[in-house]
Amino acid sequence: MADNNPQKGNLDNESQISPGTKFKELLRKKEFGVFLALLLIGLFFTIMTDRFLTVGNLMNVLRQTAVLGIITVGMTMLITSQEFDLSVGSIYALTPIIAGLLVRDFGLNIWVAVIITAGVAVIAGLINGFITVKIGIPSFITTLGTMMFFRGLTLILSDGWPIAGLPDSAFYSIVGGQFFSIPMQSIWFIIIVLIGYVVFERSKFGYKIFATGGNKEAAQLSGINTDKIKMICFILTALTATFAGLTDLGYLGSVSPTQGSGLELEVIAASVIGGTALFGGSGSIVGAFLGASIMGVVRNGLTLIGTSAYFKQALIGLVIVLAVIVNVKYTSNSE
Amino acid sequence: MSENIIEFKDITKNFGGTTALDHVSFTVKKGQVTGLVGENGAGKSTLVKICGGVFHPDEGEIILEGKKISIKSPRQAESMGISFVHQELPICKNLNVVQNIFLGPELPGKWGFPDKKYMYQEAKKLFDRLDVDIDPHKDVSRCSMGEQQLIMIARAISRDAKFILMDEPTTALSPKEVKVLYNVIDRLKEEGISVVFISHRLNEVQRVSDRICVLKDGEYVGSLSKEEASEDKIASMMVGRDVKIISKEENEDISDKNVLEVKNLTQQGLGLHDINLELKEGEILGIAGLRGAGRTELARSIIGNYKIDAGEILVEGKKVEINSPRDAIKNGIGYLPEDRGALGLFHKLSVRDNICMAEIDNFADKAGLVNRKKMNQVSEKYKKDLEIKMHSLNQNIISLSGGNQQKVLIARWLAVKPKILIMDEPTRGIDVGTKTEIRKLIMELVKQNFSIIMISSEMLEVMAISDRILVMSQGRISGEFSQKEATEEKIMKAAVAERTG
Ligand SMILES: Nc1ncnc2c1ncn2[C@@H]1O[C@H](COP(=O)(O)OP(=O)(O)OP(=O)(O)O)[C@@H](O)[C@H]1O
Ligand SMILES: [Mg+2]
Repeated sequence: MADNNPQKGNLDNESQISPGTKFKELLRKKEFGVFLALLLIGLFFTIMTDRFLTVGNLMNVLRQTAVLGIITVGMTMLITSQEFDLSVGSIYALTPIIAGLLVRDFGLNIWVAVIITAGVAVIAGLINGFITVKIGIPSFITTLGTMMFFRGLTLILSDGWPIAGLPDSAFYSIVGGQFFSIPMQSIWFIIIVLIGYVVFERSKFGYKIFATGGNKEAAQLSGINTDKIKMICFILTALTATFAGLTDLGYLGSVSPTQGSGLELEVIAASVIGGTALFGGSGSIVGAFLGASIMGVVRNGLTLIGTSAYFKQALIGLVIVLAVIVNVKYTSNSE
Repeated sequence: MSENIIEFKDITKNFGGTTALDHVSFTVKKGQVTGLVGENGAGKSTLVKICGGVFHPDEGEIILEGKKISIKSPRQAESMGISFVHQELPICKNLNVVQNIFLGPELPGKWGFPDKKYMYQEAKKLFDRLDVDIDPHKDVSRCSMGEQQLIMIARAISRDAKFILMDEPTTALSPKEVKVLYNVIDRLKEEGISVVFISHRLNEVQRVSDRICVLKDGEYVGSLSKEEASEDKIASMMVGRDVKIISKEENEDISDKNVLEVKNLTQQGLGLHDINLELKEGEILGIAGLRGAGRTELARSIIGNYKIDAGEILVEGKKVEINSPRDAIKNGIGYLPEDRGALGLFHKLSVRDNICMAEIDNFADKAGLVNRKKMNQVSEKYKKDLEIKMHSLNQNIISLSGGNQQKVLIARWLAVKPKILIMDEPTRGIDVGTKTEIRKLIMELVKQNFSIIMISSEMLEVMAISDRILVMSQGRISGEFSQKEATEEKIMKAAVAERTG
């Protein structure tokens, strides 16, 4: 949180600055509620196990959270524009499968395959956007449909089999390797968050997302092409899902056609934990980062203290609800 | 009848850095109508919301019929006999009139099944009591704003309200509906129900109130009895100085060049028929008429919000294709909407972002990154020019008072500087002092080469500043007057003109 005004509207950054008010204003930031929740959860696991608070483990959490976090950045923009995308989990499988097939069966260079894959992502986003924006089907239904369609397509193309054993290339280590023993996935996670932050909260495009999701009619009267904004948000979301899939391809060296089922809901949960308004008009990338981190920390912590998989599932569900409650309460109290 | 229904004692309310109410004390007598007036941001709505259980006072007491009470929620207020009628009516649009009246915890009926027949009869009785004519089976979505308000009042008396608070109830009503409301208020009085009535139209306040209380900057200034009160007196008490009603001298600078021409515009669905108008450079063209005459629809058809069936639009003599408000802006036409909440405000954003949004492209550098400093400078300028009352540009827009929100929307268009600005009810919800300022500003704008179309239901306002006046009735232009010719009578006659042939 290097920036001093991430949430439009809440913070007064040019008023008389005395140390006291500065701290108070930090507390008033919307993201502080999520931050608090993350801290509490971290504290809990630190007490429960001494394996949690180590540099190695935290680095590991960041890597494990990368896929979720990268997609949450795109999803946060999309939800803020007042739309949803349930097909991200399927896109996350579809596009790396296509890349893998192009390399394995058509002998394409991975870099070329990646560019084609990005094109596929853009098309997937356009399909979601077109049906939603131009035909007027609620995005919840549109993307529920495309979620199944893309998943089916992935299974057809791969014949249901994972793809592995692709020829070596620098690409894989760049997206999924290590850099001085720091996992590249965590580095990419941070980079995407930073880019997302600038695009969403500093650029005119970002302002238009807030306007579109906050009051579509008013945005149109202000000369904003709300259809175009939503369309781009769909495309960006599909691109983040694709990029997340490619980093996993790099890290694992393989891709499974069934990967990422249920991921869409986790992404939406992370975004909402991070303070994104479900009905659009407000959201933050810092919040998205923290929201995804909470999900990652909980999963990691529960594994460390040796919870069974079934318990883990149930507990994660509880934590999602609790985190949102803490956040909502905190935000309404500080107003 | 001299008993007090409610007594406010030293009510204080702070919002962060703003003191909205500062030790306000006054009493409301049983069965009286109390007018509450004050400039934008004086604290009227805040006081009413405290009474209605929406906000809680930081200090002070509320005494209801001699008993000290604390109101925790709107529901509790309702159960104590305090009802709150405001502009954003909490009405369920998908239900009908009866359902809206009785919706609540104590729905009449047996075993959880509502007794429809009983409710219908009760609703009828309520409307008879108020002497209004509304079909209880009508869907609320088809009711006018006036009817919706009456439904809320019926709802209040069905719950044995003793005290009804009305925050700017007349802003969205037609003159006819206002009259109906006056009657209803008289009826309420007869039944011993007390009313607090807030409005920026001082003639209305004077007409309905037994006593008029004035707030200024969160402080209670004093009150006037019905006999003492005159519009001038109220205004000077509100503003703290005399308010001059400006009148317009003849505008010499109007060229004969047409900046905007509308030819034979027809929109069947909205009932607009064969509309022709022209706007000259540097002119203020007033469009008068009654609510429902099609003025807003005309404006929104011109800017491409609605697709027109026939006709053409020319900007500076050239035919233009306008399919969306975006196209309109590109052609130099801006539209300040009438419905502030639904079409104007970005409710979750700051004052600064609200001011700058229509101009956001020009606040960005080549890379598309927005220059906050520039946004702050521009916003700061309009904050000063329009005297927008706020404590910070980063403040959320909804924490501004109604009139100040309106000023923010005006600032949004001033920042864009379109050649042609269509202002739909620009002074709605704005206090007398500021109204004068805004009218001055409009007259100033045309000197800077803006051309303005001003739609207003306030006839005096149209006459005060327009160079030329068009009157609409039933989707047609039913009269045109120059500034000199125009009289209230002539305009009214054209406004109620029935369609012939
Ligand atoms: N939720 C809030 N948060 C912060 N400030 C607020 C909030 N609500 C009101 N205020 C401030 O309190 C002051 C009084 O506002 P209020 O809405 O009561 O004015 P008003 O007299 O109703 O004005 P108007 O005639 O424009 O409606 C204003 O300065 C306003 O900005
Ligand atoms: Mg108000």
